This record gives sequence, structure tokens and C-alpha cells, in this order.
Amino acid sequence: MKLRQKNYLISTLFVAAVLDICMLFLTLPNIFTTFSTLKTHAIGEEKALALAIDELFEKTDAEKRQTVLRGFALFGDGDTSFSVGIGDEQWIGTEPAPAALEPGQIVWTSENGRYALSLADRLSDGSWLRFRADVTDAIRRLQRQTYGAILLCTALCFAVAAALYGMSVRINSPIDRLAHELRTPLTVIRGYAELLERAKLTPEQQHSAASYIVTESQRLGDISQKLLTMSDARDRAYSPERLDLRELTDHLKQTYPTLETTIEWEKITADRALMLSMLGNLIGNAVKASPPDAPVQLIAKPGEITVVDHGKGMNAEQLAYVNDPSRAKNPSIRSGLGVPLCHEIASLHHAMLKFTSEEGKGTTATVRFSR
Amino acid sequence: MAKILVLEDERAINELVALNLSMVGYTVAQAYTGAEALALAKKEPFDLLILDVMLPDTDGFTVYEKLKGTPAIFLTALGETADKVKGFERGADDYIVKPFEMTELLLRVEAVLRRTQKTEEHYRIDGMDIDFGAKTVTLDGRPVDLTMQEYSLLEVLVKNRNIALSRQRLMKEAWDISFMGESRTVDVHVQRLRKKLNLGDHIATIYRFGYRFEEEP
Repeated sequence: MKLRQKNYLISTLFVAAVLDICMLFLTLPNIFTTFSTLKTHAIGEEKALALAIDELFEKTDAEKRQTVLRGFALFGDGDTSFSVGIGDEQWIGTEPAPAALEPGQIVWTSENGRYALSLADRLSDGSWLRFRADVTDAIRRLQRQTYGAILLCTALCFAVAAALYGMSVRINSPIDRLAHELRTPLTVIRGYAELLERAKLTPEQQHSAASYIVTESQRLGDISQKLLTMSDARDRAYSPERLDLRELTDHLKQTYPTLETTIEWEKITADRALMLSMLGNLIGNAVKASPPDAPVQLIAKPGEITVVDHGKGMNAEQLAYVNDPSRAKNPSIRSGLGVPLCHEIASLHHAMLKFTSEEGKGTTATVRFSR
Repeated sequence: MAKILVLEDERAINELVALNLSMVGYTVAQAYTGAEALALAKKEPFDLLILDVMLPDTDGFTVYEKLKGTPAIFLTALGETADKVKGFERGADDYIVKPFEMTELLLRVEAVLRRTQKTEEHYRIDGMDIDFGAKTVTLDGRPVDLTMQEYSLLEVLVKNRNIALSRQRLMKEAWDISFMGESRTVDVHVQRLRKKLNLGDHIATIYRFGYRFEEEP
């Protein structure tokens, strides 16, 4: 129960973070609106600016004026001041010019708590025109708006998270995983059935479509089987009996011909169906990881059953997952339901399931019984 | 015709998507791991990526970032909002949740390619030439007078060629009519198209379902 609560908390916090990010994106258009407001303000001051430019350039040069106006439209506002320069290094105004400025490039600088935008443009006569606009106040206003919005959203998110937590919404439960597991076979079956129904296929394509449908239906069957066993392991009082491990493993050898057994522990008290399911899963995984026809060992010593393979092994991330599936961080490790099911069955038998593995060398699964 | 890379580790789904795309005329390359996809993309540029989110060696988003600039449609088994947000945040063009209908995927592919202007401009078969840009059709070089409804219907049939479309689907996609009422209107328009464009062989009637444009009747 403790673990589950932790899961809720983590998932609600995660939801909060996601919502936060969403809201940040929602506030972004605000920033653009503010910039376009800057633009609108500028139009009112166009006349005054035109006069100033006339003075600046002595005689009116239509193109220069246009460029300056364009620059002003970008940066000008009631609470921004800007400076204009013409020529190579000359800046009119008090701010020093940025060292290197390419034509058309907009440079963003912040110094001593003040923000500025600089822009350079080349005129038809080859001379340079530069602007520098102080946008400190405009930026401060934006920051206040954005921070305010984020703060509000975080508060909202936490309220939602708390509500979810209270409602004990289950996220990332085995049922979710099962629903996810079902999607692939469903997509395949539906897709190929659609093809058979609607497309004109060659006989080979028809055959391959049909065999995909058959294989994936089997997979659906497997999932349903696992789900049943899982719900058995969960809900039904399990019925332990005295079992002969030798008989049990002989039964498994029929399904897994490459299984080799060393039995030094023969009598065990366990639920037969669940035990077969757990050992079958462990052996099945070992066979899947091994090269074809490579043997897989099952060793039973008093109080302990190990399944050993010399297959491809697992990396640290996969190993962490199979040892504790409830803490799966990366959903791309697809081990399906088999391993979580094995853990359920082991704990029902007061046993611990532990995996050790080395990449390229193989994996060992150990079920240790406490009595 | 647009070149599409399908990256999906489930062989069955990969084949399915590739088969459907090539059936309607796209050039398709298949990759089963992120590394394979990147190697293929290095050799030749693609117009569109179809990316599975969960892959054995990486995830679809990482591949998308590495191939920045190529439009992508994500296939995801997770109906979870977080994943959708993640996709869009990084600029995905569309996503589709498994299990999905193949015609749905084809429509989205077409939509993304239209946005990025990589759709085919012409389709020619026998003497017929469809100009998708101008929305005009010629038969043996002579322009054919089609009504807007007829043209839309033809375009939907041709863009989903070799795949049968139900009458309802045709009405929805060609004329944006989604009520389930009288779908015999489709039959009337198909009859006219067959007559005007001499397409008797190419537009096949699928009994109790709808129609299919067949390149090789």
C-alpha cells in the first residue's frame, strides 16, 4: 500500500509538471501580443520620429527613413528608448555599439539589469544603419505577466494533484499496462483485416496478412491468459498442495525442449497452476534471450529455484525494471506482464524473485523461498 | 511521389503501414531501430517520417530531433496526454494512437504532406491526367468538365487508390457530409465519373461496401 501511495504522489506531481509546461506555452502568445503592442504604439510616434530623422540625415532619404521606421516599429514603445546610428562605427546615443553586427541580425543584450535589442541593416549606398533599443521596461512587464501566470498555474495544478491524490486515481497499474499491451495486437489484427476486406492483394500478401492475424490473435490469447492468472494470484485464495518439482519440470520440458534440470529439492508446497505459470514465464524469457537450441538450466536446491541462461543478458536499466516493475521509468522496456506476474506469484508464496544479469553473458533468475 | 520512412519495431505493424503506403503510391523505406532509421536518413532525405514512440534502442522523439526538419507523424500506443504534449512540444506534425484505422493514417499522411507541399501534383493513368493543383482533369489531352463534387470524389478515390472506401467514408472525405443517411448519391456520382472519364475498369464496386480505385483492374 505504501508503494502504491508513492506511485500516486509521483504521478500527480508529474501531472502538475506537465500542466505547468502547458501553461507556460499558453503564456507565450502573451509575449508576442506585447511585441505587437509595441508595434502599434510606434505608429503614433511615427511623425515625431520622421522629423527627427530628417534632422539627422540633413536631407530626406526615403530609403533610410523607411529602414529606420521599420526598426522603430519593431522596438519602439512608450517605455522604450532607442538610438540610431549611421556609418561604420558611429552610434548616436549614449550606449556603446555591439562589436560585430551582421546585416539583418538582431542582437539581444542584457547588462546591469537593462535589456537592449540591436539591429543592423545595409543601405543601398553601402553604408550601415544601426539601431539600439532599450526595452528594459517592456521586458520587465512581460516577466511579471509570465511569472504571475506560472505561479497561478502551479497553484491550480497542486490543487488538482491534491484532488487526484485524494481520489486515489490509479495510474500505471498492471491494468494500464495490460491495456497498452493489447493495443499492438489490436492494431495489427484490425489493420490486416481491413486490408483483406478492402484492398486487392496478391495471394502472397493475403497469406502474410492472414498469418499476422493468426499470430496476433494468439498474442491476445496469451495476454488474456496472463490476466486471468494475475487476477487469480491477486484475488483467489491460492490453494497450496504438496508438489513434486521433478513432475512439474517434466511437464515444462514438453513446452521448452531446451530445458535442462538439476533437481536437488523435490517436494515443495505451492499452488500448482501458479507455480507452473511463474516457472513457465521465467523459462520462456530465458529461452527467448538465448540463441536457438541453446540450453536453459533450471536448478532446484532446498529453498531456492534458479533459472539460468547464457543469452544476450540485460543492461542496467532493464535489470532494474525486472527487479522492480512498479518503478518502471522508461516505458520502452517492454517486458509485458510476465515479469510483474512472476513477482506477484513469488510474493504469494512468501518467496523473493531476483534477477542478476550481465550483457552478452546471460541472466539468472532466482526464486528464494523463506520457508 | 513522396518518400516516407517508417520506423516501428513491431514487424507486423511496420509491414502493415508500409504495405498501405506503397499501395497508394508512396515510396516507402522501413526501419526497425532508431539506428537503422538514422542510417537510412543519412543516405537519402525523406519527405515524411512515421515514428513509433517506443523503440528498443531509443524513442521516436529522439530520432525526430536528430532528423530535425523532416515532418513526422508519431504512432503511439499510449493514449496518455503527457505523450501527446511531448510530441507537439517538440514540433510533431501529427500523432495517431494505436489501434488506428489505416485509411485514417493515409489521410493524415496526405494532410501533412499537403501542408509541407510534398504531395503529388499530377496523377496519370491510361489517357487520364489529374492536376491536383489546378483541380482539373484531362482525358487524352482534352479537358473534361467535372462538377466540384465529381472532382472531389475522384481525388479521394485516387489518393486512396487500391484501397476500398465505404460510401460513408467517401461522403465524409469528398464532400464533408457525415450523416449516415442516403449514401446512394455516391453511386450516382461514381456512375458519372466512370462515363465521363472512361474509368469503368478502374473504379471497382465493392459489394455492400463502397468503391475502390484500381490501378490494375
